[in-house]
Amino acid sequence: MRKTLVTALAALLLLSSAASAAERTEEIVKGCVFPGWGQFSTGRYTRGAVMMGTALVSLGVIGGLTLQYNRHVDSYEAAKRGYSQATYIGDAEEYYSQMTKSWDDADNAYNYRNIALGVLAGMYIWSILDITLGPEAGTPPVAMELRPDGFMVVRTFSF
Amino acid sequence: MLKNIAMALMAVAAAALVSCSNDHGTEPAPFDVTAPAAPTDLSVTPGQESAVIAWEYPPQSMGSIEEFRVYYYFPAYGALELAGTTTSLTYTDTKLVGNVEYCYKVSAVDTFGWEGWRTEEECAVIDTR
Repeated sequence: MRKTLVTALAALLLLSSAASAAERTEEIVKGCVFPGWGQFSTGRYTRGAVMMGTALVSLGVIGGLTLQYNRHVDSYEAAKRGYSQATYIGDAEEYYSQMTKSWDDADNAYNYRNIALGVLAGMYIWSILDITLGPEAGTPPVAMELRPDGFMVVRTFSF
Repeated sequence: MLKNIAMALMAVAAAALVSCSNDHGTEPAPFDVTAPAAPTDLSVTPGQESAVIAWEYPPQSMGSIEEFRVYYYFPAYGALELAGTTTSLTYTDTKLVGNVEYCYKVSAVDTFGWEGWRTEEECAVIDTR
């Protein structure tokens, strides 16, 4: 019984090393799909969580700022129409004031959104480079280590 | 399941990239509208169910004024209603109701069509016949 178990574990280890090249390609594809996914597959949970978390936060910020940006652009366009149609100096000044404020708000939202977009792009690049240029997957997060007196379950953490 | 989530996340990322276009254009040009100042010395002289409204040209604007606009002003609502226009420095308002207070504001319109600042309101109680 014990001999059979050891043989089966050894066969599993051999199979896993032979499949590492294919897994690496798969990890790169996962990294291209979403930052950190490839790292999760290789057992680098902390790094993957940082990448995935940052990318998700960036996406949330981009979404929120996009809504804000669209609202400010609508407000800017409405004020611009009012300004171009105004014939009274008081109305023109009021519309101009609204127009410049909305433009400033839209510009700020646009710039902050670009920063968030840069962070998201950075996470993609880091994730893909990390998988492509980084070391092989190495020891999986949970592995069986063969010992003369049997085997040992090894739990590894890496970042 | 995981593949579907990944595809959804990729779609969100792609949508975020596409939505990041610049729709607000360049910064608005500086405010460059010049319009007449408010007419001066506005007065309302009540008559029998009528009123004569008089004023003076805004400072340094004589020659560039096309017409004057006379407004009823309703202080309770802060609302304006055009009573009439004139090219002279007086306006006679008729068919008013006696014992009622009427308030007026006046503005000047230049030759480019820009209506300048309106005066502060001037009010008077109209006489009965």
